[in-house]
Amino acid sequence: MNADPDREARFGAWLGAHRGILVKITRSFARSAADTADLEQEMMLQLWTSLPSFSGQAKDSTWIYRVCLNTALMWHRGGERRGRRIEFGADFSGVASSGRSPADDAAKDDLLEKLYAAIRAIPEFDRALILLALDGLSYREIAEVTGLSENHVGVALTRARAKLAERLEGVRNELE
Amino acid sequence: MNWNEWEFVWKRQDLPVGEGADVAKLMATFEAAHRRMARVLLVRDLTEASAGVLVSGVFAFTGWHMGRAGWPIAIAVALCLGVTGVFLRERVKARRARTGPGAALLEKVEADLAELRHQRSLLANVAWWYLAPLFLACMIVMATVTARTPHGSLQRAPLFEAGMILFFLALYVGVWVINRRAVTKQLDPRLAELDKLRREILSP
Repeated sequence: MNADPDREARFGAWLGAHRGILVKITRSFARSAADTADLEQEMMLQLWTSLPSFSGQAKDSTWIYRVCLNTALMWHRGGERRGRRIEFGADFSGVASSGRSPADDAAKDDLLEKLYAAIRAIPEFDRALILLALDGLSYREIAEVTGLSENHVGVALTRARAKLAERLEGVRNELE
Repeated sequence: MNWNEWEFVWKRQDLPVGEGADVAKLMATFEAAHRRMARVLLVRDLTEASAGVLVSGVFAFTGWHMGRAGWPIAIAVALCLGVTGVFLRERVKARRARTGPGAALLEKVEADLAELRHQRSLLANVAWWYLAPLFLACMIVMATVTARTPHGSLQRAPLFEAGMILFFLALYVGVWVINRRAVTKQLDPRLAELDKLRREILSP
């Protein structure tokens, strides 16, 4: 298989513009550092594999959500895949600086960690819905990613939000 | 805190931006991994197919060497080739039915469930489509060859014949037990998990 420049350009553009999606999904589904690396690698591999079947009909971000959420949902079920880690030569550690004070960052990080912990505690499909909703996807876009009808998405999302709110109840009390 | 406030916290998180990765190097790694995987699959398919063809060849040669008296071995050859054919057909079918990684979540879960159910039914029925024809083929070859050996030879000794039958039976029962174990220890738990996920997705 020869390197295809278009494929390489698109893959680079996807990673450049949407890497945040991978990070958020990984943080919501993986529970340890080893799992995080494993899942992120698997998502990138699946994204790369999906490139030839991407026809451009869906938005880039919708496609990436589909591929990455499919990977995350199936990931720990495919036991045979584990331990197939590929050694990457590339470095992905660059994180943009926010320019906020450390105290502000610490408080924000604490809340964010609590939010992630609550997300990790709810059922997997609810987790996927919450991620999509928090990222601001419309019901129509969530329906495209999940394959459900918009009405179904509305109902399922209400239920998922209620479960998340239950998990975050303690945090609310802590803050008050 | 309400939903909007959590949404605000969510949107303020620091995330990696910009390319920051050596895409060419990453893709070269993926392509190498992909090639390796394709090679592994090809070798596996070829091994399975050629093992069947090889055994059929050995049986056919034995039958041909025996002349007219070896005609029952043709049935054994047909049985072996039939099993190989089923193997290959299943591989091709599974590869064609596989859903791409960009399918909608529900579609992907349903396709994976269907594939897993099919695999389960193949393994659960391995005795009928795989073990029984091969056992029968072995018995046919053994009986045909034994019938041509002179009276009083070792192959004609009832104990030897019973031993051979027991050996093949033990071998095939062992394979059947391994397959049953794969069904109950691996496929059934995965099926239950996927089914639970599907119910989770579809629950109103």
